[in-house]
Amino acid sequence: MTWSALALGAGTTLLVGGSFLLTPALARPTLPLGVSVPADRVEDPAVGRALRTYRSAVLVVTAVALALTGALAAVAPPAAVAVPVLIATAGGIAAFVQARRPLMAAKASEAWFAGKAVRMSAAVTATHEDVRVPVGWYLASVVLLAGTTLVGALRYDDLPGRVPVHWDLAGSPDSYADTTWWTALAAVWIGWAALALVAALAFAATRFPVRVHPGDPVELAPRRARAQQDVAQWVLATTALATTALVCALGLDTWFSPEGLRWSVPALVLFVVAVIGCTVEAVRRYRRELAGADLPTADRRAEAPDDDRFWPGGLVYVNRQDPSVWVPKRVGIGWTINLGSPGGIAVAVGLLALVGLGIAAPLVLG
Amino acid sequence: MLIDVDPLSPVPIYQQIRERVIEAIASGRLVRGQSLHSVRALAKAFGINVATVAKAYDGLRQDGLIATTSKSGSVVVRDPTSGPPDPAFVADWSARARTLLAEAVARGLPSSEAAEICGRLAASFTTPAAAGSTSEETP
Repeated sequence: MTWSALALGAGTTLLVGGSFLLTPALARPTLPLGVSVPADRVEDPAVGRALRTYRSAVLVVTAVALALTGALAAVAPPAAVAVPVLIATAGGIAAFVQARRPLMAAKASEAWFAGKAVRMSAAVTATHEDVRVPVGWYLASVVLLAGTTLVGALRYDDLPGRVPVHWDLAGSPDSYADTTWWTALAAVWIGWAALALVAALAFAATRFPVRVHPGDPVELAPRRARAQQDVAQWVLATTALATTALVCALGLDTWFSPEGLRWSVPALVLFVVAVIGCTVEAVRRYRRELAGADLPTADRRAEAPDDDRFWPGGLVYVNRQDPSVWVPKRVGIGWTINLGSPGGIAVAVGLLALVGLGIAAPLVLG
Repeated sequence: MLIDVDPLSPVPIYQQIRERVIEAIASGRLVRGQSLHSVRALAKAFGINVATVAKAYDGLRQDGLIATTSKSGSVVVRDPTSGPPDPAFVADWSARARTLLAEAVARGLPSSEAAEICGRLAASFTTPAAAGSTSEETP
């Protein structure tokens, strides 16, 4: 139990810490730590200092969280997973918010945007470029989930009166519920709901607004928008399949392995490896799609407006004037919610309710 | 087709959108029959208030350059190949052009130089389609 807690806690903490370290590489150079800076300030010493401060802080926080994993694994194994991950996440966010403060102060005191030509760009006509949802990945998920659901349905009559609904860190069941179609097939129901949600998001995302950066040459702007869509779609689709495989393994364990988890642990390891692999591949694809399209300064039309006021902490977007519910992330891959729009607030409340349901459901079933 | 607006300009954004669309039609980058984004889609693409884009489209409709229907959305209905404008427009436009030229001359720009600038600007809008077109009424 101690070793599994240590491995899971350390692995997850490293994943969180690694994601935070990778974050600055996923932002355009004019948005270091989510702070809007003009192109001629990308190499400013204040930018370099802020990035170094951020990376050092993330390394320290991750090291502290790892040490805590080791300490807790011996005395309180469940806490050895949850607490360090929470600390690494909260510490990473705090490092991001703190490291950008001096950068914003330098930008304000030296008036970096003073006298700069600033533009907002948009396509006034539809581009007619079809953004394709990679349907094959979703079909594979549907086939896998349907097959597993069928296996569960065939197995249902042979199941004992009570089925495991929760497992400890060693993979042994520590909570049971009376066997019903809901409890026995809970893993696949969650899988169907998650798959439907991700697929709906993927199809909706094809209609999300494309934001054109005025610093891009005219011919590059649509290519960048296309690359962002393609990569985000690919991450969604592969994550959907990895999640489906994980819940299928959990379902098989529920029905065929009453003594403990057999397939879910290797599936979880594969899931983590797959998510890391997909993220690395996504960055590679994005760079490949934009290969040879480095921004030539001579073609730069103007700076993007300084819109830091709409990005509190550089992490969330709040703009009451913007009718978009989803907007491209300032840092990272994909989209974020506009908390200034009624639709965005509704989506945020819905997502929070889903997370709450995810936490409450095992407690209620248990 | 991309257009740029300056959020810091004293010219309101709705007016800038209207002007960029008019320039695109004059230079042949937007042609008759071409669909524009819906008001909401363009507002989302810019990240600005829907009312701002609606005001720009209202202006373009009043100019007779676009038409909006529930079926086709907003479509360009007039371009340089659509034939000469009506005399009332020409009279109104001449009055506005006169004021603009007067402003330049009042500031000390010789009228010959002002005329040369006007000629150069007008030439930049001469598209192959317009140059080789026959007069054709807007449907």
